[in-house]
Amino acid sequence: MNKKSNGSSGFFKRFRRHRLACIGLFVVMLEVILVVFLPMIMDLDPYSITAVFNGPPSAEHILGTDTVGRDLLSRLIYGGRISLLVGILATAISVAVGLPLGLIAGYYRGAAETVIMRCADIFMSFPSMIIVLVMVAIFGNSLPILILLIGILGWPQPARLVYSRALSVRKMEYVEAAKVGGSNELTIILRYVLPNSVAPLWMNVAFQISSAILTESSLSFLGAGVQLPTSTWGNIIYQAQNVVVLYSYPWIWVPAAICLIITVVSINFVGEGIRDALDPRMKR
Amino acid sequence: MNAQKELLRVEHIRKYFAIHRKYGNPKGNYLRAVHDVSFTINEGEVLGLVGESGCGKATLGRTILKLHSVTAGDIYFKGENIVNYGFKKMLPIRRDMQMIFQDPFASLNPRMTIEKIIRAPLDTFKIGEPRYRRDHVAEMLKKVGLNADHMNKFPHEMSGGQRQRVVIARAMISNPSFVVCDEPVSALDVSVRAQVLNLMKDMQQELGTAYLFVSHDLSTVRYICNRIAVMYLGHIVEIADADELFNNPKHPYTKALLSAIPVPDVDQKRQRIILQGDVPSPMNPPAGCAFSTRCPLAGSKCEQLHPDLVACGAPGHYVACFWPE
Repeated sequence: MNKKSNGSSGFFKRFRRHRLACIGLFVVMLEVILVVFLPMIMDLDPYSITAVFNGPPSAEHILGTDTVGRDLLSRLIYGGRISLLVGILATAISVAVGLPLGLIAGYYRGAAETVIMRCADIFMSFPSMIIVLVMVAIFGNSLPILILLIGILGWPQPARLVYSRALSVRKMEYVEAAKVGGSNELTIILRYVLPNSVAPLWMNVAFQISSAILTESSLSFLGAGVQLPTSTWGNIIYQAQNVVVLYSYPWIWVPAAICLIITVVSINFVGEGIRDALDPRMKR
Repeated sequence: MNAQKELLRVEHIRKYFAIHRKYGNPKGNYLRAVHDVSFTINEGEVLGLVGESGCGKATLGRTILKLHSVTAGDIYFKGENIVNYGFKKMLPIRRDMQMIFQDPFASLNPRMTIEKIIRAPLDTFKIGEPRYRRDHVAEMLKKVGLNADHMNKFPHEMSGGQRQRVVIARAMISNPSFVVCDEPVSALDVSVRAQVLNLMKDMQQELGTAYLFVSHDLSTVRYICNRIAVMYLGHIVEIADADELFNNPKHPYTKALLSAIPVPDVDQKRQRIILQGDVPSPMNPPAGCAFSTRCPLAGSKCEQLHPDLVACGAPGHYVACFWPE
């Protein structure tokens, strides 16, 4: 029996017990630190073209060079800055928009539910690429606009997850008890419906971060995303579309792909850890 | 009962649920959960509300607390008609009318500690000074047979009986004068039922609270209630003092219900009244008396006219039947 398990101390205690989540958090933090601080320490130049094209890893270029002879380690680090930024910020925007809308639709039902959830269906069925291409054509091509667009277009997933949970939570007797106890709607939503509805969201966040990173790179490929020569993990991986690169020069795309996978898996574990740590029923 | 002062009066209350309201309800289908119900509860009195599943007894309790919107009728609480009160006007009244729920596994927020759960009404109604509220909670826990150690626990760490004690503590902490008890012991193990029931009875007598005790279990109701109302398909068909109802039932439905109570005696031959058929759908209730489709006494008058509750026999005994015996 744990003696004191209330409040935030219980949260950290439970999170620490989730070993994979701790490793995941460590890896993500390490990535962020490397990506932010490594260029300050090492002499990294992602743009200058060297004499060696498609060069394998060597003493001079630790990860080799790409098809036009740029240092891949530098491109990986600088690319990580953009990719992590896009992934995390865009997902944060998706959740910030989708979570409240899903809660409102699930808790109030009626007209709010119809409007919000049908909009979500429209957003999900409409090819978002086309919207992004049009918006980029109108507002110009910049990183903040890209993050905003990817973020806003991703709102239906968190909204639907929270909505489906809120539908069952609203009918629980503890919500009625809160009403009888004189709690206002805001208190009921924030303290009763929200904490009991967010659990499935934490797992989704990891997938959404990775899909935001990949969306950014496919946009780059179409000429609407971050433009070359600026590097992102996505556009490094996209070089593997060339069959020659795919088979003969794996050092070009494999490190970026591994970074992406490690990031996604780590965030996934962190998500799982947060979900379990928020649930006081988990103790082990 | 001593003072006989009226606490709650419900007049001709109706609660209909629209079906397919979402699509404009073109056919106008309604589920008549509560249909034209009137009764009063005096201060410190326990009124039992019995009936089979789906007869509208739980809906009636929730409608009085305004957890459902009221379709028609009036609810007078301490002389005030609260039917049209909005959230703000209801707030001071909510402090005085609370609810004990059926399922102790669903009625406690799993993300809150016991202290937070019981303390919530104190905070919303601003009862006492904030620094004394924790002591108040501890005191209340002791009253319901738990102790201060339980404050930092979460609901999942407790048993069903303990949780129901927490539910009672939450309902009683604002010292309400009226509590709706929605089948408070039917979800509990038989072994803890009596304990919780006794606790509720003790609390009621100590604090002078009035209960509307909703149940399908007649033995439980007889144990705790002063008066009993029998509901069938959204109507109250009979209402009387507890002993009077058990000894001298007038309505054929009440008789059938009472005959179904198990008697702990193998030798005693019981005369069970077996009702034929099913309860009619509350979406399409019979035109006359709600019970006419299953009643052994039903005649053509019963099928056409709806009987009102009329005084019959002992004082305070009312029955809605054309042929009361």
